[in-house]
Amino acid sequence: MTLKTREGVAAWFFLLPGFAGFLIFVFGAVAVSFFLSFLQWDMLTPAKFVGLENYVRLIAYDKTFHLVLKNTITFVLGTVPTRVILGLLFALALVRNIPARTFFRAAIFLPVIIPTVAAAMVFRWIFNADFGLMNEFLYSIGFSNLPRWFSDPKWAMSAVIILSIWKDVGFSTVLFMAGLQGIPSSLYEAAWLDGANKWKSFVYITLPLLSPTTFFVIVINIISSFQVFDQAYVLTGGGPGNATNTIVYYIYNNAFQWFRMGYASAVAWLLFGIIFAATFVQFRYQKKWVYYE
Amino acid sequence: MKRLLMVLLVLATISIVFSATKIRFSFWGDPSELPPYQEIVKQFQAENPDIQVETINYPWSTYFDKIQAMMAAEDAPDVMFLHTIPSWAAKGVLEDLTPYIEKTKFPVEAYNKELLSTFMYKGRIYGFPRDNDTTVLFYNKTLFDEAGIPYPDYSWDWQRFLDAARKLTKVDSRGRVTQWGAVLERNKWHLWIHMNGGRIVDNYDMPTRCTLNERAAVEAIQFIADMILSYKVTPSIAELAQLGSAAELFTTGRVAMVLSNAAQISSFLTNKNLKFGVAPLPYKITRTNTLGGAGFVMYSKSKNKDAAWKFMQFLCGPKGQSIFAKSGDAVPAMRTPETVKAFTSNPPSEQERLIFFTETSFGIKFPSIPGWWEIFEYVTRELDYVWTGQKSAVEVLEYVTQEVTKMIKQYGTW
Repeated sequence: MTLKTREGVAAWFFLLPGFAGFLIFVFGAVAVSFFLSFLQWDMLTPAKFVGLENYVRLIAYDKTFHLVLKNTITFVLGTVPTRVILGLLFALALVRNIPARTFFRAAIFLPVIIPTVAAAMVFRWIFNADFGLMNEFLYSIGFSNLPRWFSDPKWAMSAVIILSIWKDVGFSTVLFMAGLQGIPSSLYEAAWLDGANKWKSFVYITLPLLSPTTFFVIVINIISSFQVFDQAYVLTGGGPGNATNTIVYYIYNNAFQWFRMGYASAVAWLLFGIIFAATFVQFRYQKKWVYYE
Repeated sequence: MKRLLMVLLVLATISIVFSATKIRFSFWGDPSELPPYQEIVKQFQAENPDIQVETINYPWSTYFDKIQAMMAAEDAPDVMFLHTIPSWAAKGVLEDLTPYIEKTKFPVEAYNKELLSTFMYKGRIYGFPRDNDTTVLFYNKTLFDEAGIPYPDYSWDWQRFLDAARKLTKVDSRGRVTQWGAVLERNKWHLWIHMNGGRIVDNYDMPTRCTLNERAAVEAIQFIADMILSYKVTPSIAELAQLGSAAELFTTGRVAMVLSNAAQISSFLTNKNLKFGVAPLPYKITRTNTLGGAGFVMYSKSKNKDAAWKFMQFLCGPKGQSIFAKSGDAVPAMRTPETVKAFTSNPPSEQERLIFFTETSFGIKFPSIPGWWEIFEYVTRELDYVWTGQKSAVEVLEYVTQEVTKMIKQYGTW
């Protein structure tokens, strides 16, 4: 054996544990779920092949699915732009030498590592319609006719969105901070010497050089927003009515409450299709605005 | 000598452990609900040292997917706590207990017949109910005394219930309710329809269509909606989760009346200052109550069916039933002098405890069809739009009726 092949074998050997885990628990499960999506199966009685029926029913007839799809898109539109913009603003503030920088950095990142369950409990109090902090605040600055948040189908999704922004903005912030620190200060100095003001150097240096990070943040945020689940699971049970029911919660209910494994798999694959399409489009159009050095 | 004795003791223990038949017994429940189970297993093992019972306990939220996965792997517990028995029996995972009952002369006749019938599939018995989910009206005596209202009794109809609730509701200067007259649980809407003489479906044994859009049902749902939205005497059912559970509100004295079951009493008792009473449900056209509950079954692929049946005879017989009844949380499904006494010798008083049995006799069981719980959950979810004032009762019940009729046809019969 030459050194090269020996090293190759060794490399494969080292990769094996991780790779085996991936094959069995990720790739295997994904492949099986694709297969399942053409079946009707409750785990106990023999599975029945139904062809495309699951997909046809989902797309053409299932009103609840249409509703949860709409809710999920509302959630994505409600959270992603805010998380990206706020994340960038926080990052810009926190890379500077502001007073108590460490404290603010921790404060913004802390929600990310708090379990959703704990956060949800606190938000349940904050958003209590009668005695919660949120409405108390709104009342004190002169609002009457306060929203009933989680108890009102019209407002429940907004409350979930606010919670999710608070919870996850720290993640975008950290990514942006890393991106900002990667921009060489010599560029700013050169621009300053050429007489560029702060706004100009932000637009012509920071934004273009940060664009790979921005692209990454947007892609990651869109993917994770489409997969929103725990807020609905812990906080609202998808309610009131179906106001905060989301696609992944619908998959969970189908699979583990009603034991319709085939149908749940079909929903999962449809969600995969949606996320794949959204990501594909972004990669297609990144050439127009993402600048790689 | 002492050492030798120790060795012998250890050997003896080991030999017992290895010779014992092992069965597995699964149930859901919060830590507070576990003592009767532990007591039953302890007593059973003392009587039967040759059978070892391993208990498996999951919270309600994950119990069923775990059990279903174990069944798919053909390795489910020998004895299980389940609900909606016919739907499991239809899938062949439950053991038909009828021959066991005959062979061992198990006192099946002591069970409430109607309730036991919810554990039957095609005329065979597949399990025994642990208890009945009887709903009663709990009221806070202190708040009633303060308002000068006589305690609820059998004379209470909807009107008197509503009048009392209105007097018991307190509002602060900003119009926020600080004390509710009554609180209703989200999954009890069917009771009001039954009280008003209405029905959810046309025939509870062989349903063909949903009847929620008929006058009696619409009236009942409208009545609940009025209590929430017009009279504001009860919190929105959709809002209840945000306020805490109905039991929590009642325990802390923030609500004067609650419609709930015996399992809540133990949490009421945690507040020593709470003086509460038990009353029958109010009526409209008729008196009614819930008939139904979860219970115990045997796994059809159990490898130790004889040992499992031996355990079930204890668990579901007078002894086990008495232990559950003694906890005061469960209205025994098997009625013997022993179980009745065990249940009624609990707070608040024997006389009030007896109301649970009277109320159970008015029980109406849920429609017996595949997919019933999915239908029930669907209706409960859609009714949120009525409770929050987004849509009218007529509007929601109209489309819900169409949908449920479709679901009934789609699921078919057993």
